[in-house]
Amino acid sequence: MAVDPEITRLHLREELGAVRELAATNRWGIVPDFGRLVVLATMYAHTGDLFILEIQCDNYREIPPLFEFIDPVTGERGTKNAYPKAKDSLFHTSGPCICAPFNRKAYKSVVETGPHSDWALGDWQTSTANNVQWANFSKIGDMLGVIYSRLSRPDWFEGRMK
Amino acid sequence: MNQGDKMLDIKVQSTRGTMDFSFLKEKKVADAINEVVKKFGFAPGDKFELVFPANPGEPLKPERPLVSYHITDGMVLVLTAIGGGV
Repeated sequence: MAVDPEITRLHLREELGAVRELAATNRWGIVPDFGRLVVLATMYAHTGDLFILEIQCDNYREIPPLFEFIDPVTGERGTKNAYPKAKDSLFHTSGPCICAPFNRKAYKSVVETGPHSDWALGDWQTSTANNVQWANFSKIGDMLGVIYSRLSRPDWFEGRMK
Repeated sequence: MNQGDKMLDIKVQSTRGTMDFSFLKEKKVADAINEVVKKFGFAPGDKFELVFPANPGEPLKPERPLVSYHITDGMVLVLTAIGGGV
């Protein structure tokens, strides 16, 4: 069932408001387009590399958002050069995609390249896949936070996926 | 020494907002994290860390007391959740 866009806008306003101070601390740029229900976010790796995220939030929170990285030089969406590489599989080469229940692109039922046919879209807020409490990553700010955790730490960040 | 001398009043920023906390200076970082996680309403059991805003790449060591990091009243720490790739 489709979510009333006004309900989605209320969620976005609340969640983006909550993360405002942390975003300023971490130098994240967050630009919501409440009309299109899309959020653009920018963040820097500890090396100074810029990463750009597009977050499609239609039907949020019934289904998770769809995250895509945008190449800061070419503007191309979803290329490996647009994606970071980390020491774990949060940034997955299949797609590529952010491999987490909070990303629609990780579900094979949504995108053919999605690594997971074993996840149900409706469980995204309560998933415990990989023994992680994904409820802790069920707000837009949480999702940005876990992405940034891979960019900000020298022991996790391994440059661009390329 | 009065009670105030034993306490640290700090702010913690998280992805779900910013809150004030008052901790014993000798409190271990791990115990402070548990308290912060609970107050922000995160589910326990995941890995969380506290970091200085200017140095997100170096989490505070959980076994050390807060005072050992020369944290003073009014300082801001950031709570980070690590999660995992799947």
